[in-house]
Amino acid sequence: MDTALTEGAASAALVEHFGEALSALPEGASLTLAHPSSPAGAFNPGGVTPCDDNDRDAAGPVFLTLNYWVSGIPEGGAARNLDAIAAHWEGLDRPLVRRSTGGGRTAVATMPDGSAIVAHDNGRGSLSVSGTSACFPRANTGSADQPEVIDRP
Amino acid sequence: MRPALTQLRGWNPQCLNGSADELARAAAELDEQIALVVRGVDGVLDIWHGDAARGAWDRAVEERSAGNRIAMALLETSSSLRRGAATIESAAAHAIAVIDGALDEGFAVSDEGAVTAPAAGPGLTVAAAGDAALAQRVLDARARELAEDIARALDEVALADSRTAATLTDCLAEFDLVPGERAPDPRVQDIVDGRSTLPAGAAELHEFWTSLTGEEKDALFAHDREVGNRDGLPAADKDRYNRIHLEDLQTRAAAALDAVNARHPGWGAGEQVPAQPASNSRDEKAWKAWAEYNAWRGERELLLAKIDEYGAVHRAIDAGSAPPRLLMGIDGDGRAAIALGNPDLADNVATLVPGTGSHLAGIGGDIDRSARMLDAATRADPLATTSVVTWYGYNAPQSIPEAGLDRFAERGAPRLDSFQDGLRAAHQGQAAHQVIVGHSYGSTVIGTAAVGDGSLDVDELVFVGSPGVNAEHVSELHLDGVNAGDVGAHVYSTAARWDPVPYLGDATLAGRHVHGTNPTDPDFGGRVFASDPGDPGPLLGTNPRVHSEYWDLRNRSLEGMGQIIAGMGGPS
Repeated sequence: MDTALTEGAASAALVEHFGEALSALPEGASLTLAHPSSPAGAFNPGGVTPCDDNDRDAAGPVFLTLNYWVSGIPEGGAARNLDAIAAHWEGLDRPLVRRSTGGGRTAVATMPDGSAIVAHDNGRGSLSVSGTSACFPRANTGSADQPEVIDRP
Repeated sequence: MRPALTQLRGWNPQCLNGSADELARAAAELDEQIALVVRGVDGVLDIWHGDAARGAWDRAVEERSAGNRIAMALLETSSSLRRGAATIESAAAHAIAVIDGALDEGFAVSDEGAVTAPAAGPGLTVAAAGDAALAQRVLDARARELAEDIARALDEVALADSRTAATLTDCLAEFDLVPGERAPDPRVQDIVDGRSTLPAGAAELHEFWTSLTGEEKDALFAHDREVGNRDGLPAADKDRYNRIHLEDLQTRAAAALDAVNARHPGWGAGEQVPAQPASNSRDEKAWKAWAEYNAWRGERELLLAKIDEYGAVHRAIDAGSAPPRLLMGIDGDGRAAIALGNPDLADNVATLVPGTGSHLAGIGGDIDRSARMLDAATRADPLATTSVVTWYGYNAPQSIPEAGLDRFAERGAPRLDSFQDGLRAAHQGQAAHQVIVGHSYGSTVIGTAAVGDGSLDVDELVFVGSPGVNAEHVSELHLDGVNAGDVGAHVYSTAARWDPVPYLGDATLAGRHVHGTNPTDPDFGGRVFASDPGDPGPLLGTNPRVHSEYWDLRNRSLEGMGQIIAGMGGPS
């Protein structure tokens, strides 16, 4: 657990990592909470989850999760763009896990600060980028300011 | 209108909570008085007959109806006051923080929120390459920024204030409607008079309930404060009545605690607490005092635990603005259910059943897990809407030895079955894709509801880190509308390699598994989806922490759950 980490700092760090992933994509790409074509698919604002399954410890550590859709890329480009992000991470020597399940493909990169960024092609034309922080004290939650749109740097 | 700073600093929104408590107590007292009147008239009717007696009874029923309406309006007003207090307090605290921040930076803030920059000091002038005018312009620009921040914050306070006032005005208008009330539907009157009951089945109850007016629903709530827990009611109505019921439970628990504390004002503060007599003491007075203290302490701790639980539920339903949170159930016995998103309107509806150690004060953690599953389902299918219910509708075992017992599952199973029937009955439009996800002992509850004569009205079952589901083979589980031979295609399980709980489930007692075959065992016959193994630990390689890691974004299990909930089929 990173005792100094706050939800705000965790959010800012994840957004920075998202920007790094975006830089591997073509110009015009951005990350959005809204799905590029389906209003039903909008992601909710991020939130924290307990690191331990222990209802007796309401103050136990938590981690932050944020989700975004990749917007502004041509239709049919999800697989190619997932590979571009993964290749970018490989070039930066980020530890990387790739997997395929149920028609979808996923690349998980671990960042030096202990957070993980997940790029996921759901096999149905949509590419998402999500991030999860290291664990931090529940007392440090609150005041995270999550942008609705992250533009390509 | 924006409040002035002096006004803002003088506000005490907590006063609204005090008023809310008083109104809730008044509603409870009114309830008791109404019951007294009706019981009184009812009592004399055994010896009093004829037109006058009938007239007295009709009048008593009328008074009860009007009284119920007033009690309902009192509770609504109490609830609005509490919500208003929280909203105004939060907005005011934010505004004061912004203002204090400006003051800390050395800016002057007027009572109306205007910001004036200080004169540029030598340090800033040096930083501006000796250009004093430039340094002052920088400060003035910052003053404008701060003024905008303060204006926005004060606007939020004004908005919270005016919204609370508008809601209270609506509540007060309810009181005006009381004299002109129409006679309720005879079916409702019969229920309120105790001559009949609500339909028992979820589908029948849904049909009956949706034929009622708002006033008739209110009358049924006034008659039975737990009506919001009845399966088959629309989620929006459950939420409305259960929120009021929660406030009522909180008020009653707080009043009961006050009464317990008042019996021994010093004991709560640790003063004059009777000492435990020596084991060989024959001092009867000392033993009596010690026994009385222990009984008092037990009663107090129980109430404190209840207040803690209700507080956790209250925080959980008020947390976050999206998706909407609906209180699908709440009772005074440690059970509740909270939906993320409206299950009546969603394409996919999942129910999370927690396991050993779960108790109401910790419901927030499982709601967080439900939120991660909702995200995962959205990633899998962004064209569909999903709702996830965190179901604390059973009293879970609180220790590993207790988790070896079936009785917790056996008590929870009928409730889970009924809850699923209610979700199905209340759903609007095309039937939802309905899934239950059980973690740990929660999977045992699900299995218990689906074996023997039981059958669940759901499309898929998901067992996560399961110690067994009280079945040796998937064919023993029953799902409504699914042929026995096809059930295996609808039952999914996952277990991380180093999660100890599935190994505990593999243990045998007198030659049989404690809760049946591990559902990830190939002999069980269900579908298995992958989880990351987790890090090995000291107990033969197992690591208790791994049992909690299924909802980590990195873990492929979360992706699998998302695909199953979204009806995309199992991950291969």
